[in-house]
Amino acid sequence: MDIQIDEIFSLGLAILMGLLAGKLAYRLKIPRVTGYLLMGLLIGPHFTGLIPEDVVKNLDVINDIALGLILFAIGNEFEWSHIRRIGLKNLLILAAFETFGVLVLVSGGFLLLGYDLVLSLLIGTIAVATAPAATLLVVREYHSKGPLTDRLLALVAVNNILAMVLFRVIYSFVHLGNGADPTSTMLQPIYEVVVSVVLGVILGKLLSLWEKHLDELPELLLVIIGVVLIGTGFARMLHLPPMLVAMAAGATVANSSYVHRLIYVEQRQLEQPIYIAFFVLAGLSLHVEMLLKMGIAGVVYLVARLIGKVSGIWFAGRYSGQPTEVSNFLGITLLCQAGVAIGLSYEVLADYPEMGQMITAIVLATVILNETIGPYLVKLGLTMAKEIPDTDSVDQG
Amino acid sequence: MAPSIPDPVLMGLAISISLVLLATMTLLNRMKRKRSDFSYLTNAMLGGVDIIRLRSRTKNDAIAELAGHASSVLRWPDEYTILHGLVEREEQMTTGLEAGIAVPHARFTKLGRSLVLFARSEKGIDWDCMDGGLAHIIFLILTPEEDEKAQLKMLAELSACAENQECRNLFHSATDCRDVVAAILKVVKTQ
Repeated sequence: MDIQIDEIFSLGLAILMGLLAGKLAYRLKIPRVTGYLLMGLLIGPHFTGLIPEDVVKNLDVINDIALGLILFAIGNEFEWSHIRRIGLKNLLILAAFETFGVLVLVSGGFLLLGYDLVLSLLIGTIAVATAPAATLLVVREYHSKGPLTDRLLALVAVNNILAMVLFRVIYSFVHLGNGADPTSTMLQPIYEVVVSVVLGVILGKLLSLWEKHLDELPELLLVIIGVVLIGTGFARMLHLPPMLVAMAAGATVANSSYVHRLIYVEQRQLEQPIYIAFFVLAGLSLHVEMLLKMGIAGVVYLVARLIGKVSGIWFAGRYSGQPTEVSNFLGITLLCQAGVAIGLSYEVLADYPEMGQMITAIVLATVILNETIGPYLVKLGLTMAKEIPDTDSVDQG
Repeated sequence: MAPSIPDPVLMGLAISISLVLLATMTLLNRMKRKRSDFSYLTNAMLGGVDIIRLRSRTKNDAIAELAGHASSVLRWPDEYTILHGLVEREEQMTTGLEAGIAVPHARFTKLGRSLVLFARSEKGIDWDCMDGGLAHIIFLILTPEEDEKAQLKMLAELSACAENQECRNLFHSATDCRDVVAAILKVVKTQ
């Protein structure tokens, strides 16, 4: 009899194996996120095949919930008093220099390799994106605190918004070159940003009202998941980026009342199983075979992105008078990359297969390294900036 | 994905549904508040305990000082347990809000009743507040582990008070805890 691997069985396996991998990672003093991802890779279709590919696709809803929660939490970092303390101008300078550094070096590198200008620019904008999930989880795991941590999460959000907007702008030229309607092509990025933010603000206000009448903590998690799913669903129906909706909702809640700040932290541990499943599932989707086919383009992408982020932040830090540890170490904490980059490259693949194949090959290959080594670099940066407490009272979960 | 702006009717419908939901929530919220004249926060404040004037200059010392005060009016938990609980919560994320207010809080098993203490620091304490300022007004909130609702309600009430300029001023000028109770009740009732 042919036994099919069931989705629920796979989910259970992913959570348990992820938990074990997290414990092992903790003993090895590497971020748990890396452990979850490597476990996913190990039990996934591209390695042992314990969980087959079709099952991975059926578990997408877990990804949507987890990513929504993470982006919601990233949105929380946009508390106005927090941004005022960091300095909005400083934050924008850091983001602008970093984006410019990555764009120039990655796109320049691909131009030198003989790729055409538009393709090089598209790859450059994708390289700007930083994975919020892995970055946030490392910050939480090590309870880091300080000027670098303060800027890191807000910068990750700005980074991804910039990457998406720049991608949209450059991509609209690709559409125009292929005979698309100019008005709708030009209106698309504006429509996406404005409607996403409005939707996020409405959902955030609803959540904020609800938060004031909670009777128990688990209710908060359910309300947040509900809001995040409604936001994601609406975004899909209206062809909007779900990421922006979740972040706008998170920022709205954080700025609407002090209640959220005081109670949100108390229910974080309830989210843990969702995150473990999310990262193991992300590991399942890593195309390890692409690593072998990465070639010189992949190496250029990795090296140029690294230099672009580190040097961009260093110059921005010096220019805007940031603390030394921010200038020196913030850059290497911004290297995680996953969902946003993959999503953008798949978009090109769906519209223009020939161009898309080149981009996805590079992104899928480099994501393996960026997503497994990236969290370790976040920890390294936080450690060198002395923002991880010595006691390191990390929960054993 | 090729550019595709969805049907404006669908967009309008989606946004209208959200606005109706928002309006309904606001209405229910107001109706509920008008009926309420009970405050979880003031109910847990001890009538006999006066405003605590903190001598500590650092956050950790202030928490220890408050834990000492709390343990003197409670049979359980002891001072060390209270201190440990408060520090553990503070490590997760600071409880310092804006405008000089901090709300150290924790839940404890076998705590017979909720306890709220009101303290002031004339010189201010660096509580890692959101706006980078010093904390002058400190509410210590201890609640039973089993009673999540009490803590959630108290934090919601306190949040409303902290967002109210008049109430904040009353916290600063209060001469005894009765003034503080009156200020809180005013916010809770009128919201």
